Amino acid sequence: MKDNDQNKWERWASLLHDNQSGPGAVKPEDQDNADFLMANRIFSLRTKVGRALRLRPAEEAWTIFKGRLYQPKRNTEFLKYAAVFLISALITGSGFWLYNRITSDLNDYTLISSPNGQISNVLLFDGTNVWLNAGSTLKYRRSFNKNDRQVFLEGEALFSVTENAKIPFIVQAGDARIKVFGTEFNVKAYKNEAKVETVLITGKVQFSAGGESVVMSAGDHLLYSLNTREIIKNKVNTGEYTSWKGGQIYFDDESLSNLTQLLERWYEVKFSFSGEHIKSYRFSGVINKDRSLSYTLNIIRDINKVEFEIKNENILIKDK
Amino acid sequence: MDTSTQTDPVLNSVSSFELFFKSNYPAACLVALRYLKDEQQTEDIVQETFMYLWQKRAELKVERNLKQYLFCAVKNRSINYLKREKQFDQQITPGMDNYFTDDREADFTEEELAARIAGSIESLPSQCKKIFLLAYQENLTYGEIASALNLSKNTIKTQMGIAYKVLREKLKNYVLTLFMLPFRQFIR
Repeated sequence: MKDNDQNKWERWASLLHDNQSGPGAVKPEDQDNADFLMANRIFSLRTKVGRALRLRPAEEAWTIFKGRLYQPKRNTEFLKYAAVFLISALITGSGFWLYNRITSDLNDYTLISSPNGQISNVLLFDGTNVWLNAGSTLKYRRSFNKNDRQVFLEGEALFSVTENAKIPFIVQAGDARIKVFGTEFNVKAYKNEAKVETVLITGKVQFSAGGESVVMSAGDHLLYSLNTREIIKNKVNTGEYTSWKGGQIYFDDESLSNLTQLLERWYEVKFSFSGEHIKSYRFSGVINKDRSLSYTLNIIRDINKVEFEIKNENILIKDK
Repeated sequence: MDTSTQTDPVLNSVSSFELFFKSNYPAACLVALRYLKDEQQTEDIVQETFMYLWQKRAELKVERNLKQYLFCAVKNRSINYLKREKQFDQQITPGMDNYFTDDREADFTEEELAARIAGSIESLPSQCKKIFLLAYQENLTYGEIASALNLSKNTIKTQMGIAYKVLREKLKNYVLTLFMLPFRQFIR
C-alpha cells in the first residue's frame, strides 16, 4: 500500500518536472484525485513560490517592525519617495545630520556621519543599502560607481550590496579590506576598539587584512585583531549582529567596558570606573535603544551588582 | 449579534499581533508583488500597512476578517504607489486601471497558498529540498539534476516523489481551512 502511494507521487512529480515520461502518462483516475490536483496546484504556483522564497524571513521582518513600533511618529513620506540618496534618523530626537564636503580635488569625498545617539539608513548611488550605527562614519569618492565602488568605514555598518559583476564593492575599514560580490553583511570597526568584525548574512565576500585573505560564506563571523594581526573565523547566529539596525542589541557575555563604549555612543554620555576590576564584569542580555538610559542602567545594575553615580553626562560605576 | 464589528482580538496584544504578522507577512508581500517589481518597495509597503493596522487598532472596525482587510490594504497601497509613480514615469500600460478595480482581485488564496508552500519547502530535508528546488525553481530535468549533483536519476525520482508527498501532507490542514472560509461566511 505504502509503495503504491509513493509510486503515485513519483509518477506525478515526473509528469510535472521530467517530460521524459511522454504523453498518456496521466491515468484517467488521476483527473479527479484530490492529491493530483494539489500537486498541479503546487506546480502552477512556482513563480509566486519563488518570490516568496526570496523574501526576507518573517522573523527578521518582525524584528524590524518591532524596532519601529515604539518610536515616536515621524514623517515617513519623504523616506518613500526620496531620490537616489537618502539618510534617515531612525531614533528620535534632533533629526539627522549629514554633510557633503565637496572640494575641487580629484579625490573628493562625500562623508556621511551617524552621530552618537542615532542610527542612519543610507542608500548609495548603486542601490546599495547601508545601515550606519551610532558614532559611525562612511565616506566615498565622488566617482563612486564609475570606476570603483569603494567606501571607507569607521564604526559599524550593515551593508546590503547591489550585485554588479563588473564593479566589485569594497569596504575599507582601517587596514582591512572586504571585497563583495552582491551580498548582505555587517562590519564593525570602531577606532577605539582594536578590532574589525565582519558578519556575513548572505552571499560571499573576501576579507583581506595584514597580508592574509579569507573567503567568507553566509553565517561566518570574522574577527581581525589590530594588535595581533590575526584573523579568526567562526559560525554565528547572524541575527545577533544585525539587530542593532532595529535599535536592539544582543550581548553574549560582553565585558562592562565594551558595553559602556556602546552606551556612550548611543546615549551620548561618558562612563568612568571607580576600579579597574569593574571593567571586566560580564553582561549578557538584550538592550533596547528605545528605552531610556536610566532603564538600561537599571538592568545593568541588577545583573552586575554595581552602582551608578550620575553627574550630568558623566557616569561613575562603582561596586554596590 | 454584532460581533463582526468588534475590534479583532489579534489587535489586543503585541504577542498576538506578532503571530498575525509572522503568519501573514509572506503572503502580504506576494500581494504587493502582483503590482510592484521592486522587492524593497514591496517590503516597505507591507511594513507600513502592518504599522497602520497596529496604530489604528482602536478605531478599526474590521468586518469579516482581519487577514482579508490586511491583504486589501496592501493591494490598495501598492496601487496608489504605482499611480503616484505614473506621474513621473509611464510604467502603467493603458487599461491597467480596470485591472486594478476588478473584484476578482480581492481573492488572495493563491498568495496564501504560495506563501505556505514556500514555508513547507523550507522544512524539507536538505538533500530533498536541494533536488526539489532545482526542478521546481530552476526548471532542470531529472537528468540535469542527476549530473549536477552526481546522483542517479532514480534517486532524483524518489526524492521528488517524497517532496511532493511531504508538501501535500503539510498543506492538507491549511487547504481545508482555506477553502472552508467562503462557506462559513455564507452560513453566517
